[in-house]
Amino acid sequence: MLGLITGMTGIILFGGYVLRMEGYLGTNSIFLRHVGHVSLLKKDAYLNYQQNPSKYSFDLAEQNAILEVLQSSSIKMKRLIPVVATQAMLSSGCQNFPVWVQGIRSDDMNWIYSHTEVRKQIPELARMHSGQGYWNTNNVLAGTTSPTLWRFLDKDPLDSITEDSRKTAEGILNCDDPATSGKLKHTNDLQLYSQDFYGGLGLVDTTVSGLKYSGFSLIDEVFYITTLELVQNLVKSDNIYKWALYFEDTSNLSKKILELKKSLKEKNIENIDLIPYRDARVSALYVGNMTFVFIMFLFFLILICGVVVLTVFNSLQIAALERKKDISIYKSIGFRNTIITQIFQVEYFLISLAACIISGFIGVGAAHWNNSMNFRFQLPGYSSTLQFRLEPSTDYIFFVFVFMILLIQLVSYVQIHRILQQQSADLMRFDL
Amino acid sequence: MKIIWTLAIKNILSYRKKSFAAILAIASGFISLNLFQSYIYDITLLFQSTYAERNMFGDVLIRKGQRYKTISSAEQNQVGLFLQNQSQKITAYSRQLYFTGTANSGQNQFFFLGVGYDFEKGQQLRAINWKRNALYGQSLLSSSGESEANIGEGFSYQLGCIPDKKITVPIETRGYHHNPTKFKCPFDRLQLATTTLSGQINALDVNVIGIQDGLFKEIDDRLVTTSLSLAQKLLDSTEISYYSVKLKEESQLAELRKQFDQQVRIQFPDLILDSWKTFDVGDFYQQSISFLNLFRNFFSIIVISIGMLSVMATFYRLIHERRKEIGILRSIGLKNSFILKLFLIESFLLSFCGIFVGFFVSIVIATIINKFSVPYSLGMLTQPIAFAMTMNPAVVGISSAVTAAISMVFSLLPVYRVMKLKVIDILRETN
Repeated sequence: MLGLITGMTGIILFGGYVLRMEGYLGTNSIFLRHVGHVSLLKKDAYLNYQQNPSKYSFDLAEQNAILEVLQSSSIKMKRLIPVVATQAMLSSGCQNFPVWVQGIRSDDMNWIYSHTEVRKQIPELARMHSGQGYWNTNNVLAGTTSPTLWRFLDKDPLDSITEDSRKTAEGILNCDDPATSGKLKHTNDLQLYSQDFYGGLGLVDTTVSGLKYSGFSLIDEVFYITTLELVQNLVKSDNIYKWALYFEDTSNLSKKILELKKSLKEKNIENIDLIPYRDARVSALYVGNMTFVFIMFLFFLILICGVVVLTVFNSLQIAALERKKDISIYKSIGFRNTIITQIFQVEYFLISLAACIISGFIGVGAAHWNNSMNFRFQLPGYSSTLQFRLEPSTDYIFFVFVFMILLIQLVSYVQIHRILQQQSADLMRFDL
Repeated sequence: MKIIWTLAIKNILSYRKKSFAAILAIASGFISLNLFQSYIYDITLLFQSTYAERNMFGDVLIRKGQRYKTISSAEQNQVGLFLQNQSQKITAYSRQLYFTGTANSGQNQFFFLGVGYDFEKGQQLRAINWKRNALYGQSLLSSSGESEANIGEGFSYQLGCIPDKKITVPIETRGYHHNPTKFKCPFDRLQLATTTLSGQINALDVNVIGIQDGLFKEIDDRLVTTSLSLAQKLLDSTEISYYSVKLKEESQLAELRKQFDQQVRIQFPDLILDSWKTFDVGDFYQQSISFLNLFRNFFSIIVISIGMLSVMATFYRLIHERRKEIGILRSIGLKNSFILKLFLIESFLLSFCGIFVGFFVSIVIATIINKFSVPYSLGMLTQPIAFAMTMNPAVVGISSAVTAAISMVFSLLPVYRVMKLKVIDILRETN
């Protein structure tokens, strides 16, 4: 039974870790990567938007038509967040780095960062590194980038930049002259330039109001987020790339998608994709990471179940050897094999039930203890550490209990059945 | 001494059913421990090979702390001299340069992340299976490097390039195909425009001759690789970003670093020579390995605990039945140390058999799993990898040592418990 308890506790704790990862990566994808519970895009935009942004984005007329349908839908939504994005060059004057600029309204960003799920699941990722998010300023030119990109731009710490230091960087600069170009360190004013949606050149000034990690270190190198208006000025268009839809009730997303598609179709809006956040097309990182965690968990589960099965098999083998005499007496006084099997199975049911209860208590207790200790670790590729939390849910624990009880019943049935194949006389003969 | 071994073997055979149960308990623990460690080891090897051989990082990088800070000509002269003097410790080295800018196909404009490298020297850093360096089309190695470029697969899609047949990196061989698949792009030449190190705009037309895998999606969508000379021409500079160096023996790193500090850093203190794992480019590798170790430790604790309890339970029952035998042995004058030794030899033999059986079973399981090479996504990598296991003597050794130690310690606990009782009590109880 001790072996069973250990195995089940391990499965409960590892499952708690998988559930925690689901919460962490899912919340990151839905809120901070602005995927929403469902993303609404032009058909195939997730593939072709960068090639042909004007064709694969929603113009004002389409936006109004879609908004009308979404707002009148029976599916209750918490928020509809429009997002526009483009590739651009972020320039300090002497150095340029390619960035993926996203434009989101300040009030939408405020809603995201004050959301309870964000505060609960990913407080580390929502935290500013320095300065303040553009959504907390009233400056339409303000933007937020990552500390990594800030280092590449060779800038002074953001907190040390003042109005006076910014003035020293004004004027025409000669990048060949280290003394002159060195002045660029003291300013947080940058330029964004890009091809606009119609093939021309787009250029806007922007001011970095704050630094924060995007979450994923490779994205940090190309991360720039600013107001919707600024990006629309840069691409010289009112179009938007997508809407991130946030539902009140997040269950059964497939059914909701079908309903929304139907409502949109009734208004002749068919050229769209509604993609849930669990889809690799809009959440490649979430899907990739979770696939890996699930593969690990599955492998772990198979091996642990293998060990538990062998342990039960072993223990039954020894128990049967010790109780050969009992079995032979049962058989000789006329007990049918099914009755003897039931006796053993009830015994093992009670043992596994007791193991379930004990491992449940140990698992939940260990998870609580672990969560109170604030152990921290780093997920590969993520730019900040996160708390090592274990969150085994009641549903999951119940599932583990049922699964293990059934598994043990199956193993015990097979083993007892095998032993009962022997004749009573053979069982009576002691071979030890 | 011979008698005690004979006696131990006889005992194992006499109690063969329970001995078999003990072997099964030990084998199951060993198989789980060995397979999981082999899986983790396989991923570790995959990561190492990806960085060192496929990305041409070798063993050591020489660069400045910040990735986009370049190494000047004067610094290169000094480093070149140093590397020549250290040729007895070095297998090969290559120079590489990062550059960024816009790529214009005539229809669209995209931003790219470029890497220029020495073809010939870079080839020496790449393992045999990665030498061709192209998923589709030609490898840069087959070109002069004057005006040719390879691009990432994700980037090629954005530019509208279409392969004749969609393929993936073969997961079984872990290297590019030797027979190149052709591809077509809707443009003849791609214009790469950059800002030079002095802030001027510069542009060059290149032929896209191959498509390669950029490993990570965020890089693959923007990747351009060229010769070092082409990258330098674009940046109108002779500077480079870093040297990558492959050592004859990895253990020579400390000595090489010491000499570098004495000979080069005295003059150029910004330059650093160290393992690529210590720079920002190795962050992902380090984080992945720590993450995998976390899983491995957690798994090991669970398996060891179950194995320990299972072995102890089996031996407890075995010893319980043999209390009378222990009592008789003690009553005829055998010392406790002899009896302990006898049971120690028995448990050693059972552990040996359990590990032996477990080793063969795990080889069979690993071979079957490796044969199927089931692909799966590993985090943020662009290409799937195979679910595979690699056993090596260290992995098997650790698994064997842990299993044997647990089996022997926990099998002796019940014996020790019986030994503490008085002989008369044991005999009375068993009669």
